[in-house]
Amino acid sequence: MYCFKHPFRRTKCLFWVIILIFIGCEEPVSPTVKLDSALITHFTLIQEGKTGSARVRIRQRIEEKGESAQPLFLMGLSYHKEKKYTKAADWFERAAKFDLPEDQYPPTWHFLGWSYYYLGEIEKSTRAFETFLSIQPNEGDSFFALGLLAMDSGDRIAAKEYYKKSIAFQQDNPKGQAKAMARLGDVLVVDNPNAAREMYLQSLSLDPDLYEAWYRLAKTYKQNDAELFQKYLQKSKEAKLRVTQKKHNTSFPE
Amino acid sequence: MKYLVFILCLVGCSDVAQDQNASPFLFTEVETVIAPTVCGAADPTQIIEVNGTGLGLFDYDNDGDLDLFVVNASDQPCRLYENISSGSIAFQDVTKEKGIDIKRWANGVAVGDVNGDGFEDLYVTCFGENVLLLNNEGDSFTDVTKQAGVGDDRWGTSAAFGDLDNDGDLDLYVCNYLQFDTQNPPPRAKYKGVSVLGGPHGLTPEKDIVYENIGGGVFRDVTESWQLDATAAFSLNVVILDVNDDGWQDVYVGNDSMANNLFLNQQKKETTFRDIATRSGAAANGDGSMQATMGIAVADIDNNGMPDFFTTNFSSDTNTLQLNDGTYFEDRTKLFGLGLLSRTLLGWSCGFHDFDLDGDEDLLVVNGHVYPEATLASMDSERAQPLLWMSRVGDRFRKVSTTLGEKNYRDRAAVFGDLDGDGDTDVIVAQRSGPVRVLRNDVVGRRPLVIHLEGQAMGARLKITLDDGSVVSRWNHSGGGFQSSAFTDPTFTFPLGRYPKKLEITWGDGDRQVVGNLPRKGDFTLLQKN
Repeated sequence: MYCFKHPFRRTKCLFWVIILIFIGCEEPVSPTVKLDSALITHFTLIQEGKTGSARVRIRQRIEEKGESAQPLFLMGLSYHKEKKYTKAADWFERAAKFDLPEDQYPPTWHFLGWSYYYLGEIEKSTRAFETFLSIQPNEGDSFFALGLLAMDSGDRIAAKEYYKKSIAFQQDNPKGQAKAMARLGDVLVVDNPNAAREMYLQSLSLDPDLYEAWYRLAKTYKQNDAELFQKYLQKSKEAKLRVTQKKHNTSFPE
Repeated sequence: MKYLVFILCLVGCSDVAQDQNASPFLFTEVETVIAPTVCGAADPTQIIEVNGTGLGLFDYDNDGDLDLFVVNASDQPCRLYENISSGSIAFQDVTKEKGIDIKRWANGVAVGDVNGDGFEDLYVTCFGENVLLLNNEGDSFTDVTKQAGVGDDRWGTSAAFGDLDNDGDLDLYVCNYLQFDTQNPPPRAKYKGVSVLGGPHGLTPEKDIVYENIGGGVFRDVTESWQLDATAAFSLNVVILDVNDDGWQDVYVGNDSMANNLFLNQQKKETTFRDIATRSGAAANGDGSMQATMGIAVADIDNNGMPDFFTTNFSSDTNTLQLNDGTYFEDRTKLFGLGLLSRTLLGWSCGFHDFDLDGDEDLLVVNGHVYPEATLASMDSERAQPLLWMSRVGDRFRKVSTTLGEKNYRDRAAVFGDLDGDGDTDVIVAQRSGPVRVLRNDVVGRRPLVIHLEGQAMGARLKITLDDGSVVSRWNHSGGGFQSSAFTDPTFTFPLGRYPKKLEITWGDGDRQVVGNLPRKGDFTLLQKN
């Protein structure tokens, strides 16, 4: 709804969809939307992991042109990329204060939600995702996050619905769908291991690197099929190795 | 008159409103003579300084109250404090008087009666040779390490006693952390882009060691012959208890950033164990990720009669609750509300106890970051952190405040027990190189049933069936507290209107016994039949 009412907003929406994909994926994705050239540079630097350099430039831009939603959002995004969620949340909060329709930046709420999620702030996280969905009701990753939050609040029924919506709204994002399917499997596994298995397998057909789904699939066979248990456990180890080889860069597990 | 009644109603209403918001946990910090702990510099620069030191809570002189042993590193003396509470909680330093002279880099302590004389002895883990202190019937302690053959000289962290071969005496499991050369410490590392002290990654993990008590005050190394020689790991904690209710003691080991071990006792004539952690699901969390297990708490969270494990972990991760169905473990952290809220905390000792005497077990976790550089801005986690108090409400745990307020500490160790004999559970918490705090529980409520066990109490499992058929279980296990140990009487508080029908006990040496006619509250002494 938000995107299709105004051409200007449509451009913005396209940009943030690309940002969401960029954050969700390990492979950098180039923005294809037309942006202020200075902001494209900032965004590219963040993509490349040159977050410090990006921040220097963003600060310069803010000093020159004053605060506005997009540069503040990118400041937050740079810390989010570093997994420094307290700082990220601070900047996203500042960005979120620009609530005029022509200056509001919807992805801020989404990333604010994730930042609070990683800080264990369940209520703030939920509120941010809900705000985001009030602007963009079909965003699958926010539904995925709400599913996780519902699970943490012990509400399996709500979690199930959120994961289903997440799957439905991510038809063009197989990795996002895979994550939601794996978590839906977690809801199902308590009462219905067969349905959970099916969901894990569907998830893994979309993203075989999802090591936690292999692990949970293995555990569904722990009591009745030692061979499958070992097979899927091994798949989990292999997937984890693939994933950690791609991304690990600190000397302590995070 | 009407006006007065109206005012009284208002006052009454106001009180009710206040009560609804009041914390269920009423604690007061008590001033004592207990000296601060010492473990390296105020701001640690090496990994050897970060774990802090442990506490031991036990009745060394069998006078009916709980005394305290405080471990210190940095060649500072470990100290024994006698409980001299009378009306209010008080301790007296009796270290010298009792002949205790341990000045080295000590880390943790395990409590257990190794010679069966009815007096609890102490095993102190160190960086360097560990120490066994024999309790001379409460009069003094004697260092018998050499005679006993238990002076492992690696980096010992936690240790636990248990009758692993069901022969009636206590054997000993000792966790070893890693190989560390004080003259050649590892280079600094990066964590979240911040320069921090190096390790454990990049350092060589150590194997644990297990001693069989062969009588006559002598132990022998049975790590290999009992098949407890798992791959070397950064071991930080161990708990010994009967995990699957087969009458044999099992061993759960918490490792730092590596898979945990669950050694199941094979109940053979020749004692052997098998590590079933991976197969059972106890090795990792529900995502299959290995965690940095520090504290281990044990309780029957789902009332199925089996011990469940709660472990505390590093910041930017969550604590983990693993429910045990007797054979397999399932990560149910989220469903019980114990996940996200621990992400900014780095947890250490923890324990399930009924702090508000309402009949179910609540949870306390003590926290503090290992890196002095830790701030919310740099690591999403402060160096000093609050206690995490969780109240059990139905099928969930809820974070609650206490009358202590929310202050931040650099805590590591905690022990739990009734220090003043009023029936509730008090807490002693130790910071790393900092004050030891005594938290007196001031709850006013139902008086619990306290069971004094006379027999092989360590490792005993108690299961009480109530008049409505429901079951309440406790494990008098050894270990679990991070580098700490408490040997206290099991307590039960029953839900309103419910009465205990029978107690089934499996003693630490496997003997089983059933007892009826239990009181609902007060003290009850149970003697082992055989």
